[in-house]
Amino acid sequence: MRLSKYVHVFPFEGYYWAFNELNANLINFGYSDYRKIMNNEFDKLSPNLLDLMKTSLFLVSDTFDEDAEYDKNIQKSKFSNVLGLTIGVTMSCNFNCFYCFEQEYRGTGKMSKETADQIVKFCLSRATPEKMLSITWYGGEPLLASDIIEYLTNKFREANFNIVGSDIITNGYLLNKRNAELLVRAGVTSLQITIDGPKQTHDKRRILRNGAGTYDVIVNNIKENAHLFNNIQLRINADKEIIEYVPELLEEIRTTFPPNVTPYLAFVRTESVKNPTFGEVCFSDKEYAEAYLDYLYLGTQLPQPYYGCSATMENGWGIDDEGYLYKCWEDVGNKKHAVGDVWNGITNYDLYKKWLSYSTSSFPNKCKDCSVKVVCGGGKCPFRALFPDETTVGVLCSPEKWYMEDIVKYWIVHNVIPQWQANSNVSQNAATQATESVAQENQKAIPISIDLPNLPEKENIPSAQGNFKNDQGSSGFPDQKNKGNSLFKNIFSRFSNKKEDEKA
Amino acid sequence: MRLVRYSNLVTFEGDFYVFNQMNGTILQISYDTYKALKNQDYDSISEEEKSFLANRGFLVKDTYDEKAILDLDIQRISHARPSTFSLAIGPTMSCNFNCFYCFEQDFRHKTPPWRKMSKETADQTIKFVQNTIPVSTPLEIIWYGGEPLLAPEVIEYLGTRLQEVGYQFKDNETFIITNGYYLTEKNVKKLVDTVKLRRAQVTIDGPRNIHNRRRPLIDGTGTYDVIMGNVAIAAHYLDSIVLKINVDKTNVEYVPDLLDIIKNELPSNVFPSVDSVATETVENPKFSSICFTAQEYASVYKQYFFLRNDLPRPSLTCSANTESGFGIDDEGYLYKCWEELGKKSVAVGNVWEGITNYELYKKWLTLDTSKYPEKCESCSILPLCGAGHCPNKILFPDHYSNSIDCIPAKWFLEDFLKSYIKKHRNSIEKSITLQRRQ
Repeated sequence: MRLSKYVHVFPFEGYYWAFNELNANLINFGYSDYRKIMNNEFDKLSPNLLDLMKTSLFLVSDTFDEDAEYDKNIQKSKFSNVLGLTIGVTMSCNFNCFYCFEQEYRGTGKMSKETADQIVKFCLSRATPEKMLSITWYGGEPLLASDIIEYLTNKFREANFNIVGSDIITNGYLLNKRNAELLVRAGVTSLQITIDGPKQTHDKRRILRNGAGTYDVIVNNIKENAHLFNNIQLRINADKEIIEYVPELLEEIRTTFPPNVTPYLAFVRTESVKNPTFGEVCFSDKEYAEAYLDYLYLGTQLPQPYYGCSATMENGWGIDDEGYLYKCWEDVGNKKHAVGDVWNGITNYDLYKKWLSYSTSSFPNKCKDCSVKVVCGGGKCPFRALFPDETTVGVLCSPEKWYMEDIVKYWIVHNVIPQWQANSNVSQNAATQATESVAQENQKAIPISIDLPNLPEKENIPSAQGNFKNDQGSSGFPDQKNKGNSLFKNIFSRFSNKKEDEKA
Repeated sequence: MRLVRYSNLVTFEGDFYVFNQMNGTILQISYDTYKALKNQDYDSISEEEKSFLANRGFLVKDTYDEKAILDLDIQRISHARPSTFSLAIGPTMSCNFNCFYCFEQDFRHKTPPWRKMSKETADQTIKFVQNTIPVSTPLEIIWYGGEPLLAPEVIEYLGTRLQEVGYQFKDNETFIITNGYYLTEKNVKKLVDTVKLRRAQVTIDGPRNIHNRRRPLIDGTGTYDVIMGNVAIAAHYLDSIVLKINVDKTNVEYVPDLLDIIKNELPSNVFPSVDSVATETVENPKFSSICFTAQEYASVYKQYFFLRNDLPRPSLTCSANTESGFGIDDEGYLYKCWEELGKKSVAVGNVWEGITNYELYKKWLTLDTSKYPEKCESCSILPLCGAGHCPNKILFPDHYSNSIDCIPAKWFLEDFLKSYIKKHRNSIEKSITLQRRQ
């Protein structure tokens, strides 16, 4: 028996902690247990702790193959009863952002009703009997074709699809009352809008085609309509130009918007930007990691295993306004990368199968012995891993590569310690107490762990949201965060905390 | 648009049919449609008929790639969260029989006292199942061995414990593969009550004298009368019993006699099924001379196809090449292929440590049509045969001395389809054009 190679052990706040990347489980123990673990004297551990560590894969047999276990979950995640669609209802956009990766394939038209009808037919041909559907409205700027959003939603409803999730990625400029209400009617519950710094920077970067700024309109739209939705994620595209203005922006966001508007930092690194100065303003992965660490407080999620994105899932589809099908939703509109169309279904099976072949064996060599392989997943971007000849950016490492412990410690400070303080009857340092609570927790936890060997039992939903290529963070100020899934004391997280996203 | 690659056009007594191997469905079509499909004159088919055929997978887009679809199917079946998890459990690897063709000869325990799974191993097996299989996933359990009814108390214990910790059995039933010698009323009743036994497979190799020569007890005593007596009674407690008839050149001529006896002496829920004898592990040099070749066996199978009630189905995978199947032997070793139970050199792990031989385990999950032997490349029945129905032989050619055998449909698919049509003529779905005509 031995510690799994993706377990990180470190001392913090008077305890020793172990974090397991394979299932995002976190446990703690006292010094004596720490010594036993480090000296490989596992049989001297209490039976409860030993059992817990074995069932949650902290301790594994000598022959255990962590990468095979990880691959198993990657494979499993590819198959879902839910059809995941990212639909570009128009590929045209009223903005002209210098870093847009769609620059070369932005169009002018919008989706015809005929194409929309055919999308429904295509989905009927792919759906399982449950007919579950999860939609991200996308473009171009989808609100330039909001009538199609409503039309297509109604068509899906008429065809008896069960729409389990509906969200939109919009620049926010057209999120007026009329459109916001339309989105509500269409069942959209969550929005992603980009704000690139306070007014002075945003208005330089995210401009209308005629060059005019967009900040005031967007802010006003959000203020007036945020209450209609569960959540608005404010994306801040972080690069060297913006980063110094972020604190100011965050303060503005906090004071201007209701609490369901949650900012997060994303990494701007796009494949298709030809602008030669662009590379200079972008962060390297290491620089981004440092910025990420500064803004951990925006999202206190434990690092999660990365199993791929909607592109690597059997039923994850990007669809453009002409009905072409894509795997990667950043390709939407880039017909060279289409795998088919909604009339003919898949036409390029080789390309389609290539996307479905994503596994640890597609990771580049530099990932081979990486200690954070599971949470990074070969750069959190299957495109770059699978098509090394086509990426100009290459495989970028996740912040965990440098700051795994800091990230987990941050989570402990904001999610575990407050619970301890709230439960004053638990003494802070008694190892025996810790063991007892393992026992109690175990009694509750065992049925759960049976049901959840290593992967959350929940349905996988191929969703564009939360799988952003450049998005390494999550959203939410600590005080708004739902702490429901942090089980008390020794085992803090048996579940992937994707739940919230999926509900949204 | 075109006819799907793996399909067959059949005429039978003035009617026209098309069979789709990709999904195992058959359709009655009009002469016009038949002609159009045969001549690839798709434009002459009405739009309504076209979309009817397309919805059922008979007509596909020109770019449709059948092999890619099959490979994606295999990948999904291998990896997706399963609707059931299959376990073949050998509560004992001992057997009271001594059949000359047994493929377990080298790893079977042959003399009393019978070695059985210990309580400790059984308890650990339960733990392994709990750690591996979500309790919400129904289990498809096949009790296997050795001869599982040498250890009915182990079956009872394991089956009861699994239910106690919350597992359900698929379709609320359990299946056992037994030689039938101990399929006594007492055992059946007990297992029906405790572990939901509903179906059994028992082997009878011919009328009394033939069977007794082929399937004797270890001391050479015949077993025919005991088995026939047991089956006749057990059938009343079970939904069905399959009587497997293993044929080779020496007993094939007695099959009609046996079928007659079965019809006259056994209840109607006992179904005979002819199978061929051909195993890897029999050292007897004379053995190969009595076995049928694949093509010879096909001719035999053709004569007894009338025993079957189903259409040929696509058959690309087995529980061994999925993440949702294990075989477990009496010592707690884990196998992918359950015909390997007891053969520890190919175990992938054990119930204490889980998987230990990841290299082997992972190899089992790499099946796809590109691994098929060359002769399958342009085979017209590829989805039905799946390169011989045996992922083990495809993935581990060095483990086998004999090559991948084609299935009888390779030579006689049309006959099988006609036999099915004859039996089920009135229940076969008609194409929309035919429906309109009536």
